[in-house]
Parts: sequence; C-alpha cells; structure tokens
Amino acid sequence: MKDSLPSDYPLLGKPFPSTCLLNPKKDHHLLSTPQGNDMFIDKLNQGVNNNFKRRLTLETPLQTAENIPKRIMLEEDHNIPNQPHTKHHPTTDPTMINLSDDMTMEDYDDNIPPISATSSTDDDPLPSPSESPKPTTPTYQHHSSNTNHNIESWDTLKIINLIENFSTNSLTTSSQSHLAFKLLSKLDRTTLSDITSHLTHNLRRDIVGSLPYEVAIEILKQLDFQTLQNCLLVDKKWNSLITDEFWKYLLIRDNFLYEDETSQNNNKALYQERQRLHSNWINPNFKPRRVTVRGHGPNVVTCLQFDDDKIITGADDNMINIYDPNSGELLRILQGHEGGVWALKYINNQIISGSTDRTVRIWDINTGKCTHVFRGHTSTIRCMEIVDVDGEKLIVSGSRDNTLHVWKLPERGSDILEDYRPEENPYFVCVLQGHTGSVRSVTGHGEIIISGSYDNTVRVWDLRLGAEKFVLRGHTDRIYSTVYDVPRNRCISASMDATIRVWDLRTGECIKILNDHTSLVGLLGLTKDYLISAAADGTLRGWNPSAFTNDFTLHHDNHSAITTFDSNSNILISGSEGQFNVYDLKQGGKLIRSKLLSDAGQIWSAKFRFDKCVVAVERNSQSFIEILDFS
Amino acid sequence: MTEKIRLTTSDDQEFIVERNIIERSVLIKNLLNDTGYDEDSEAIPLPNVRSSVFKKVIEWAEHHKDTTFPDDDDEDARKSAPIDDWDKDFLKVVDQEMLYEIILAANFLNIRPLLDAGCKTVAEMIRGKSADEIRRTFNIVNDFSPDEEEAIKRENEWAEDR
Repeated sequence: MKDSLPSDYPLLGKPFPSTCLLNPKKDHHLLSTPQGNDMFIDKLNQGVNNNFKRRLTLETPLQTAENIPKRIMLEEDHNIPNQPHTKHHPTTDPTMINLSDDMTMEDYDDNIPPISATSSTDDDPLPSPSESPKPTTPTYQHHSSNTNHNIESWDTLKIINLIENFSTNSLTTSSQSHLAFKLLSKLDRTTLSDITSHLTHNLRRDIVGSLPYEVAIEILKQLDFQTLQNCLLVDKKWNSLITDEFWKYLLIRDNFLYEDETSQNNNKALYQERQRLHSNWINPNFKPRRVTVRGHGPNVVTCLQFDDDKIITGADDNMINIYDPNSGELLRILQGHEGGVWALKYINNQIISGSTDRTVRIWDINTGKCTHVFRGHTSTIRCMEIVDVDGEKLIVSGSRDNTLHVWKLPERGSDILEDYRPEENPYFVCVLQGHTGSVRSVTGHGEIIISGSYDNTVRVWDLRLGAEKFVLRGHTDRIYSTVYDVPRNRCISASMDATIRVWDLRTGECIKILNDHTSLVGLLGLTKDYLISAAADGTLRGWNPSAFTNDFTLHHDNHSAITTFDSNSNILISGSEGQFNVYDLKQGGKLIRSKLLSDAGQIWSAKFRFDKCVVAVERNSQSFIEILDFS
Repeated sequence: MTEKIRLTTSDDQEFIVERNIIERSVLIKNLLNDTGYDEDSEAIPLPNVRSSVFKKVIEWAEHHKDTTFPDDDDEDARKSAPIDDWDKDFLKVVDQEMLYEIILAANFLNIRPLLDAGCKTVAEMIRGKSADEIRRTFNIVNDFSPDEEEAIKRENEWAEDR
C-alpha cells in the first residue's frame, strides 16, 4: 500500500489526500493550466502537471482499491509514506517540510483522532515557539541522497526546491503570500479543511507569556485562586508574572483585607491564609472551635465589638467586660456607669460608652480605668459615632433627650478621673438640636453626621458649621437605622414604617423607596456589592447599592425578628430568636450553616472577622459570649 | 458628511476609515485632536499593526459604533462585565495568532473595550484548566525541574490542607 501511494506532497508537509488520487478529473481541475504571469508559478504548475501525469499512470491501479479500510487511508494520509508509523522527528525526516520550528510529526498526528491515541505527545511536550509561526514561508530541509525516491517524488522535490529557492532568495512576504494562496486555491475543500485544522493547531502560542506584562496581568486578574495556583505551575515565565504585588491585588479583589489593613510583604502567604479561613467558613462540614464564656449574668448584652486582642461587651448590668478572644478569659470589668450601657465604640486603646445614666465615659483599655465623664445629656444615650474632622477625633452621642452632643476625644487620660460639669467641660464642642424625638441612630464620615430619630426624620449635620444641613422627611414612623454611602453621596434610612428610603445628599431628596419588607426594618449594612437590610418580618434582603434591585431575600425559619447581623463582602451572619445563620454573599446569599448555635435562645449580637465569630446569646435566662474559631 | 481618515498599516496598505469609527482608538483620537488632521494630511502610519489585523479591529469598531462601554476608569465595572456576545463570537473564530495580534493592536491603539474582550477571551481559555492543560492549550514547554515543580506544589498545598 505504502509504495503505491505518492511518496509525499509538496504543500505544507501534507501528503496528497487519496480522494484526489481516485478522482483524476477533479485532480486535473485542481491542477489546471497556469494562471497569471508569474514565472515561478508557471514553473510550479509545469512541475505539478508533470507530477500529475506520472502519478495518474502510477496510480491507475488504485482506482480498484476503493475498499481500502478507512483507518489505513487516514494513516497514509497523515504520515510520510515509506516511514514506519512511529514518532517522527523533522530533523531525521528528509521528506518533511516544517511549517515552523514548533511543528513536529507528533504534533501533526495529534490532530487526527484515530491516530492520536497511538502517538500521544503527553510525555514529550512540544518546544515553545520563540516567535510567531509563518505558515506562508515553509522551510524545506533539502535532502537529495535519498535513493528510495521514485521519479514522482523526485519531481516533487524539484517543486519544493523551486519554492525553497524563491521563498528564501527572491520572494517578498507579499509574494510568498501570493504564491501560497495560488497553491491553496487549487486545492479541494477536504484538503483545505485538513490544512486549516493543522494550521490552527500550529498557530497555538503562549499568548499570556508573549504579551506585554501589563496586558498579561489583565488576563490573570480575571482568574480564580485555584486556576492561578495552576498558572504558577505552567512554566517559569507564567510563574514570574504572578508576583507578590499581584497577590496584593488579589487580596483586595477578593475582599481579604480589613478596611484599615495595609498589607505587608508576604502577600501570597496572607492571601493563602485568608483563602483557607474563607473556605473553612463556607465549608459546612468544617467545625469551628467553640469557646463559651459567661456574659453579664441575666442581663441583656447590648454592645459587642472585637478584634484580634480583645472582645468588648456592654450590658444592661452597667458593666463593660473585656475578654481574651482566644481563650475567652475575662480580662477586665470596667465599672463606673450607674445605668445600663447602651452605646459603645472603641478606638485604639480607648473605649467610649454611653448609658442610661445620661453620661458618656471614656475608658483606658490597658488599665481598665475610666478617665473621663462627660455630662450634658438629659436622658439615655442610645447611639454613638466617632469621626475624624481635619485630623481631630470627635465623639457624637445621640440621646433620648432628642439631641446629639459633640465632644473632642481626649488624649490618653492621666490617672486622675476627669469629671466635668457640662458648662466647664473643655472637650465639649456643640449640641446638634432639631430632632423632636429620641435619636436612635447616628452615623458619619468626616464632618457629615447623619442621625435617625423617633420623630420620623433623618437629619444631616455639618460639624464644620455646627449646623443642620438637611431634614429628610418622608418616613411615616420611627427611624431605627441609617447608613452613609460616602462614595455615592447618599444616605439610607430604615424605619418602623417597613420601608427603606434612599436620600441624595447633594439635594436632600428621597430618590428611592424600598418597600418589600412587611414590618419594622431595624438594621442596615452596606458592603461593596450590597445594601443589606434586616427586619422584624424575619427576612434579610440584599439590594444592589446603585440600582436598588432586590438581589436576594433570606428567611429565618421561625419568622422571628432579625436582631443582629454582620457582613463583609464575602460572608453574612444573622441572628434571631433561636437561630443563627451563615450565608455566602459570593453565591448570592446562599445559606451555608444554620446549626452552629442551635442550643442558644435569643441571639443578641454577632460580629465576625476573618478568623473568628463572636456572638452574644441568651441561654436559660443567662447571657453568654460564644467564640467560634474558624482557623 | 463624516470625515474620512487615511491610515497605513505596517504592510503598506492604506485604509480610509470614518473618523467616528477610528476614534474608538484613543491613540488616534488624541492624535487627530492634537494635530488637526485634514484632507491634505499624510496618512497616519500604524507601524505595529498589519492590514489583516487592522481589518478585524475596524470590523469590531464598526459593529460597536453605537455601543456605550463602561468608563475606561471604572475598573470594577469593566472587569466584572461579561464578554459581549458579539465580541465572544468575533474572537472565538480567529486563531490564536490573530487573537494575540488583536490584543496587541488594541493595546497599541488604546481601545480599552476590545483589549478587555481579548483579555477575557484568553482568560476563558485558561479558567479551570490544570497546568498541563494550559501548556497544551498554548503550546508551552514546562521548563521547571521536577524539584522546582514539587516546591511550587508544596507551597500551593499549604493553603489547602492544614
């Protein structure tokens, strides 16, 4: 069989398909008379025509061999005849024409399904192309000492020689292209199809590795962590693209940094650590280490904050407790308030607390001592905010006396307790007056303060002017929560009237009313992707923070009011009577866990960081602090 | 009547393109604004773009002549937006060499939406693949020694099982 087929075909290292051999008429058409006046093409055509005539003679017997098994035909089609069907190497195969440096016979075989299995390249990867392959400028490795060639192949060689000489010596790129197109235009569709798939295969190139760094990095920025781990293993070039600076980008992209965190040198290690913690969170089979400690006796825990060093809780028993977040050990009890603690913030080593005793107190976390007492409010202090105006920290306290008081945050205090009468307090700045009902929520940034009140209004204050900027009217019942969307210059308020309103802070206009909740909306939160609201109707809703579409709705099984939630851009946790849930925000709020604290009664307050979650709960009429460690 | 701009590609082919089409290229747009192009001006040379690639770029620009893309500066919106369906098909049918050259041309001509589409197309060719599959997709030789490969694998696994 092999001997009766043409020994080789000049174009692109591909033998002439046998279908053409069996169809002389078609063949003749394909190799029709010379066209154009290019001398080299004329010569080529003469050569090809001679070749054709001889072949016709030689191949005639083949016409009876139409029942040649298909597989054999394919094999013959795609291998250089007179060569055993094993791995070929261009350097040892004189009849082969290289398309480019990166092309080998194995590569070629890979394209043909029935054969690829017998000539797998898995263990013998191809060399990487150093430059773009040039399909129109084949290089032929001339070899004239092969005595096995018959006349026909000798003719073929002549043609190849012609091409070789012209392409290397006298043809411009466009002439080469012209010549190649002339040749190609003589071929039939099946041959062209074979060539096309072959070319496509050979035009594969290391796109990422060849592009300028800043473009390659844009490609990698699209990929997930797992794929990037695989990219590190591709080759040295790819590995070098994924720098520590790139890991820093990923830390930010995947929300793996705290807001106030600046990443250091080993960003990859930090990323891997945060990724590991995150996967623990979202793996329902991972059991976090749980530490349970006593809270504030039978009293409601009203405030909860924590970081890597401390858990701070405030309660209705007048106390503020500080716990070790790892062991759960009770480190200090801050004693001094004469009424329940209902508002609390901390900054660096200072805690600022507000109480039903109408005072604001400043505490030193290190010593556990109260350093300052600010008097002036005439009723319970219910909310607290700390803002930075021109580098100066200001405390804003909101009270049931319908006012907000603004105070300077004292420098770290001396050992002597400073307790001032209102008119003598050097830290007092101003009173923000206007509300006609209790101030229930306060939030701010820079000099802008937003307060929500039981008088159904939201007020916007400018601390530089010490004056009211807007009164936002529209809600028909008490305001329970407000958030300030600084980048979009908006604020959002949630009310007992079951609606959420969005306000434009340039104009003071209400630009959106979200009324999907069916009862009191008590809590609001804002992440990169969502505005999150929680209501007494037992649902949490996620809204697009620009378009305000309702992107997800999460139901607590027992329909009891949501009492607390916390979220970052990846995770959302929520608590209600007897239920504590963890949701994956990257999967549109998919419920991941609901049994973590199934033995608890009321969930009062819950906060989390990447490694831990701290929850204040009630169980059998006693308060407890639950620490869940996901590391 | 819309203004026509003449441009010459690296292989000396001259193109005449409507100004509003070619102005998808921020490079050309700035050039036209800065130099005050008129009928008598020389054709603008594009030494880095060959004609067949430039044809594809123009085909893309003509299709998108009325499309509003996210602001070039709004990186979040650009990154998270899925590839436009037409762009996906447009870039799917070209071979890797052409895809590579289209990305290079979009980068050189400063056509952000086309560059983004190209980058996302390549990212889709990588996503979810093993190192070996990536190498095969792009014809890359593994130049790590077995020891080096082992070291990277160990570092990778550190994040997974601990």
